[in-house]
Amino acid sequence: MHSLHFDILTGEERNMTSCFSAENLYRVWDSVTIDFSFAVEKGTMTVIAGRSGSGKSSVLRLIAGLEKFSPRTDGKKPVITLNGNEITDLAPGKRGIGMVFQNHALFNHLSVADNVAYGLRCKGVHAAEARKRAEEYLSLVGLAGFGFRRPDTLSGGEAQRVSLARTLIMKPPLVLFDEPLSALDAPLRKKLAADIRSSQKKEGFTGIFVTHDIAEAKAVADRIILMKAGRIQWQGKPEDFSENMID
Amino acid sequence: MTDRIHAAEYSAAACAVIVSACICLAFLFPLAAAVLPLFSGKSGVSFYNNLFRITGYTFKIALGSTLIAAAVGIPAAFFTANRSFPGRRFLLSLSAVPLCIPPLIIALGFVGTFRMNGVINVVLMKILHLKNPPFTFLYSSAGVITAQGFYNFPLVMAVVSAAWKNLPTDERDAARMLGADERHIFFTITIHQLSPAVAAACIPVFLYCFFSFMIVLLFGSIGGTTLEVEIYQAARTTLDFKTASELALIETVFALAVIFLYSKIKPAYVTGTPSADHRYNRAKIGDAQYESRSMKTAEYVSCIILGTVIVLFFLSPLAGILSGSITGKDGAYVFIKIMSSSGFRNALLGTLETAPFSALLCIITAFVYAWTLRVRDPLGQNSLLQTLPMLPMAVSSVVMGYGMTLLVHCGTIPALITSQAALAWPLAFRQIYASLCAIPQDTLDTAELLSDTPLDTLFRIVLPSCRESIISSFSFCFAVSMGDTTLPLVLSVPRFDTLALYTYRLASSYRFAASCACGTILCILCILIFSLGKKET
Repeated sequence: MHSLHFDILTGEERNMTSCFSAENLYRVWDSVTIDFSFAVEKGTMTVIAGRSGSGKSSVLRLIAGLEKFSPRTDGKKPVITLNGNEITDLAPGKRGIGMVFQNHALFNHLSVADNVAYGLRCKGVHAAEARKRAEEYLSLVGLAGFGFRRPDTLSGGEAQRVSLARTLIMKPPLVLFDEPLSALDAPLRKKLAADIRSSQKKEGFTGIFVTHDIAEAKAVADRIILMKAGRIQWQGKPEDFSENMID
Repeated sequence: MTDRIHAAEYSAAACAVIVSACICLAFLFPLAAAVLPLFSGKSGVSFYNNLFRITGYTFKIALGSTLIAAAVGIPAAFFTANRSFPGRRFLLSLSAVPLCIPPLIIALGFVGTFRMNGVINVVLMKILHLKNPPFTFLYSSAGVITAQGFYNFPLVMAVVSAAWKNLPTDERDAARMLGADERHIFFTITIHQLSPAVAAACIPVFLYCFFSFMIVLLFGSIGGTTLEVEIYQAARTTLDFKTASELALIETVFALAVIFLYSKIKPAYVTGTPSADHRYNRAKIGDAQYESRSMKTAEYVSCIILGTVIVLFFLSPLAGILSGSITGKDGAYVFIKIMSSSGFRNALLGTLETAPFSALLCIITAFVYAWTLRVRDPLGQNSLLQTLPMLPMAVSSVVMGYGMTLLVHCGTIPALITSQAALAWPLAFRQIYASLCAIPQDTLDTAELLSDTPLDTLFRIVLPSCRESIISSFSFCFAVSMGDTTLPLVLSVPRFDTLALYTYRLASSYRFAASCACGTILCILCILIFSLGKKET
């Protein structure tokens, strides 16, 4: 899909091949009104940065189908497309989107391997096959041999890796990261940010990563969108992004 | 002046500690007295045969009632936690019914509604042109189970609804993103998240039903007798104290095992419920975001079935108490008649002589223990100290009354008050301890630094901080004591009646309209006092 994009800083209009686009995402909360349109190039990582309460996570939840759009008066309709297919009205599990949550959202009553295999089992994959593939993906995120453990025995970093493996095993074309590193300490955050970036390159998925941390944004991004009060304030390359843009 | 204040503070604190110690002794001594006759004489084979039969029946009744409470309470919890509909708040407010309306009243309500010539049977016979009444289950095990199950379902509903509302949404969202449908999410995720709350709600209900006395006494079929009724019969009718003690011991040991299980499950439930998602929105019935058309239809149908069942087996018996009183030969005049009788006046006086004092002793004991626990175990890690207040839950009113009777030989008003307080203070403890835990440690430390004596902190900071919970628990214990029929019946204080006991006496002498009228007044008083305490808080 080709769409025109306007770069606020350079004032340049340019053509890009987008894997994903979202137009007229609209949601009214008490504190903020989200009115948002953007597109993401295939195989890249776009970071949505902004202060708490700017509506970053809500944008992800609207894209994932976990939040309903608010009705708008100007007649514009929300349209979300992924790889050329419109997915606006599809159920979350049928959109081909994976999501890594802030608090990893692991199922504590299941083992680590069963957590990773959960999505495959929902799709009807045989238990033994699902478990085998779960072990492969655990190895991919550096947790080989962790399959039998319970999620509540894992450290924050390990839990987030399991969450990543659980998402990647479904091979989604688009992965949403909802502040996945915010609960970790600084050195671990840096390490895991690099790991996410390398697995993105390796697996070739397209990513949208939400964070309020500037350094983290720069570490993982191909492109950064700065969000303020539910709207795009700035978008561009990580090297052009500076901390004082967030006033 | 300061010295006089300090002296008053010390005197008050000393009195409170003495009262608490007395209440603890009033729990332990009757319990010991109830067990002592075990060591006299021998039990025959027939006793053991009967024992298995009675224990099995008690277990069956308690389990059946708990299953009904769960079968109605869990779907009701789903709707109250996840859906918005007219009457949602009313349904949730029903959780106060088992707390403030005595089981005797519910039993009367069931009699009024489901007896052969009760409202429901009469209406159904007319509508369906039936010759025989369709509902004949009342005086049987099914009647006991139905009455107890529906009486307690609001407790399950309240606990599970609060837990369901507070379930973390991320796990379910994660499952949705991985392709699970709503049915799959319920069976693989939600049910596991909810199970500690369901267990924490069902175990106390099981225990209440295990100890149920009044409903079994009124509805019990021939041959269908529970441990509670048998202990009462052995202690008061056949005077077979050894048998009574054996049954009391078995019942208490079993209840202690259940309490132990409860104490293990409760912390898992508490830590498993994080704060509510601030974006939590309830969908209308059949209008949830991810539901398929068939699920929406199923939701409508189950909502209608559930509503009908609750109206039929819960709200109708409540209304049946009032209708039972005014459908007698005296009509509404029965209220004037009953209130002008000397028996009623004596019963009201008896209630006012006991209930406030019992409630006062409850809150004093509860506060002393709660404060001790707050100071000694600020992090709540001492499981022994935390579990001790649950012990009175393992002792039934009949066992306590039986033990007290053996101690004092003849029931007295002080014996009744202390027995009620010894069993009911944990109800006050839970509320007061929760409010004490809510006071930040920094506030207590600052108060201690600024105070002359530790008692200054207690009287000027701690007591005012938990004033609301003290008032609320006082009114709760007042209502519980006022509605207690079992202890006044077992202790049989000569020339003494309470409203609850008087209602029971009227019912057992087949003066149904009068007993319903007295029950209605008792019910109104209990609700009034319970709500006054809630309003204050």
